[in-house]
Amino acid sequence: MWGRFVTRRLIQLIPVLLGVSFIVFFTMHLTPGDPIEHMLGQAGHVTQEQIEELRGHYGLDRPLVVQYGLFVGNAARGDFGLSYSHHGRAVASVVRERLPATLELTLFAFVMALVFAIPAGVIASLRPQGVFDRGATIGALLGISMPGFWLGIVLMIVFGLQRNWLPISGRIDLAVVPPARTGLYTLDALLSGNGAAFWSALKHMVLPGLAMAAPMAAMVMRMVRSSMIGVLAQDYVQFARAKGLPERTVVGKHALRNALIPTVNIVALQTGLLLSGNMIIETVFQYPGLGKLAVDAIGAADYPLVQAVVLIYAVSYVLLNVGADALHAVLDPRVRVA
Amino acid sequence: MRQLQRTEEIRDSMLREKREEAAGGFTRREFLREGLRAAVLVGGLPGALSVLGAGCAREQSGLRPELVRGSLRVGLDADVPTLDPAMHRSRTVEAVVRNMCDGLVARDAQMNYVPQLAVSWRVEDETRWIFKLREGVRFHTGEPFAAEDVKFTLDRIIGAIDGLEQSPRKSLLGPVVGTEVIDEHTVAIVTEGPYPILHKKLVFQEVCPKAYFERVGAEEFGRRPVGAGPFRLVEWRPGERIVLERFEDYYGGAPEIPPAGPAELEGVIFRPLEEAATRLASLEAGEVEVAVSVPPDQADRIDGLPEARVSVAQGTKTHFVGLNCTRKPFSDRRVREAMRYAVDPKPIMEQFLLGRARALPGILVPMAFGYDSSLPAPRQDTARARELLREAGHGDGLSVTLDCEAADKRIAEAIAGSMQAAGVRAEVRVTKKDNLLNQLRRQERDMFLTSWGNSSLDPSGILPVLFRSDGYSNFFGYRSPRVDRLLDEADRAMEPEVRRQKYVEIQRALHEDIPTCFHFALEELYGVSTRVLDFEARPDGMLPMHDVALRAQV
Repeated sequence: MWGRFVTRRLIQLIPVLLGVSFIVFFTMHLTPGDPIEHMLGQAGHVTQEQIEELRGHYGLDRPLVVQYGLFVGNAARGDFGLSYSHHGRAVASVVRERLPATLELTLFAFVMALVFAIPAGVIASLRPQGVFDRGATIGALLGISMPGFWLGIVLMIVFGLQRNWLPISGRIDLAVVPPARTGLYTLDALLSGNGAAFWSALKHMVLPGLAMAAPMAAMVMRMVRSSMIGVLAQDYVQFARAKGLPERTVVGKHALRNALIPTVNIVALQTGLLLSGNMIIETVFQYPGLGKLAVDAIGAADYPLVQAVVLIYAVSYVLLNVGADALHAVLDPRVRVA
Repeated sequence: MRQLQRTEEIRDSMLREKREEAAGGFTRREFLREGLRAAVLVGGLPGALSVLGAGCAREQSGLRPELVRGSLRVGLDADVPTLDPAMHRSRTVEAVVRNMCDGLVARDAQMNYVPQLAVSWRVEDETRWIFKLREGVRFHTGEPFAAEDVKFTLDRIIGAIDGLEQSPRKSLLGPVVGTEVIDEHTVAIVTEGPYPILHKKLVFQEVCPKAYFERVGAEEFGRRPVGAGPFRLVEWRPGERIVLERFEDYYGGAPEIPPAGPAELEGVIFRPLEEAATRLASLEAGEVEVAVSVPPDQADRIDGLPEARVSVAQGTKTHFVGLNCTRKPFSDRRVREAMRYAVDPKPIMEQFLLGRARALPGILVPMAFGYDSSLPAPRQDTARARELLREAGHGDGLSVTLDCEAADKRIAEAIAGSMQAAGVRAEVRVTKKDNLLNQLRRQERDMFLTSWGNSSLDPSGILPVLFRSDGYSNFFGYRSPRVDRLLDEADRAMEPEVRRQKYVEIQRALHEDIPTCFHFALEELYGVSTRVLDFEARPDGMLPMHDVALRAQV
């Protein structure tokens, strides 16, 4: 039954990806912008033949529909073509270079968001409308409404510039780069036993991680709070109390576990949004990840690169949701039956 | 009563703890203590691991501490897609690569041309130049620099080597058709027709070692280039940083640019920090020592900081309003002349651009070769503009569209506002840059604000492209047989004085025909830490670090 559930969801991935590839391809090709113009810059005396030659080299001279067909066919085999803005390098190799940075930062922001959000949500639910709850609500409102780039710059100014506690940009101190294995600097540092590199990489992630985590933490906190309030009013919670269980067990074990079930889906959705947030945050903090790569590629009308990055985002978003559904089924047997 | 109960409770609980302790169990206090210890242990895990690692030949790919301490860090305003000197059209790449790879010719801070890897040159006949090369120069690989390397470098750019990708820098070498090795330290460069500015154009090409390139191939060369410059590449993490260290066997560089010898700095670290806010915050926080391209509205603030100053260079890029001479209304010269008098440059330069720009009488910047200083300075004369418009049949004013790209929108609006006094109603329309350029090349726009860079500072880098009848970027549909002829003559004139005269004549002709008006050039602003000694912004945007020094961090 498990196999069938996951297989069915993965088969559903195919039309989603086709749809995404279609939208990305045609929006990119139909928005203003000419990659050849970008490549040549102010190249002075360029003949029309040279331009046509470049167009031919990158296959831009074929009809759009043919280009789209080639793109889908090649992408299905893992070939995303050549990047216009990276000196004709293979898109896959450019993406592989940047993926670990984004993965690491996103994981970090994810953990940070949950570490803040779940305890805050639980505490707030214990005394609705209490001081903590009101404070947390205001915090959540701020977390959701502050634009990421603005929060990023404020954090940078306060903690990087005025206090000089944390680095403003980059991924790691120059002196302590760990040898590359996974490309995740913190993991590489641990693997090579380099404590200084670990702390340095961690320190560099704090400000961008906070800026990325803020909206997710806010959403998850509100979700945990409201489902906790619902659960705490249930009969079985009253029963547990009546049984004489300590309040900590009642809240932590009986209530929280059940309250987390609806939270799982929100967490998955919000993690998808984390991915989109990292385009902005990586640009502000000059964090050399996929998000910044995508922003640069859009500016340079680098169609193949944008298509590849957007597809990666789409796949991870869908997989996150499949994962959340699977987890939901694990946590809540009723879902499996349905 | 309640007090008593509480005391009893406490006593009970202490007793219970004691009993549990005696039985070998954990008390809560102990549990907390142990938990804390475990947490410290986990937190200290990396540290502990690193001690462990040190025992078994610890892996380390970080930079040498001396290199980190003694390096100058530069925040760039653009990323670097390649480090291959021959495969880009980016000023940022050039500024980075120039620190690793020297060229035959270089420019000093005053933009004078000096021999670098060449010792001298002479024109043998109009189409053949002989370059004497410096002896005893070594590349970073230790291999000696020789004539074969120059031949290889230039042949690769002009496309004379089969099987290599076409270089986008070919057009920077104009009519160069071939090279010949005469002996180990002498090279001849052959051009198709006379090319009086060959030595000036060679500052844009850096010499690559043939043997190394052939060993590693083009792709690897783009990642790990080798040259004969003052710094050699240590590592390049794309999007993150480019680290260069001092090349100890450096021959010293152009003797005309003292001091000679290896560089002062331990190394240079370039970091792409495209967001201006981040770049400047990094400068303030001491994460970089030089920040390229300070926005004009931030310049005074940066200059006022105790730890930084602003270094200013006159820019080489000219912004201008172009007019389409092929169709109404600007096919009428009187209307074009009216545009010249319609805008008031003073408030735009001083208030709008905060005094960080300079209005120019024509398309050339004053530093350029052959600049005609006799042309009248631009000024507003609304009465004259209205009169010219009336003569041309636009007595009740003129409505036009002023096209520009997004980056120029505000300044275009200022220009449009200024024109109202002369009875010109200009509506600003923003188009994406590539598309605007395409439209302009097809001469589909009437009036537009755009710009053209000319870091060669030679008129041949800008006048033929824009104003020859068949110029690639003749946005104006400007056709003047006389200007075409003068441009050809200037191209062939080997005598500098004759060339200068031709260009002066061309500038006067352009002033007469008015395909462009309202020219201005922006200053180039660099944020520089007070720790940096002997760094000055340069008009050509290069960042030569050979002669720069760094005060130790306090």
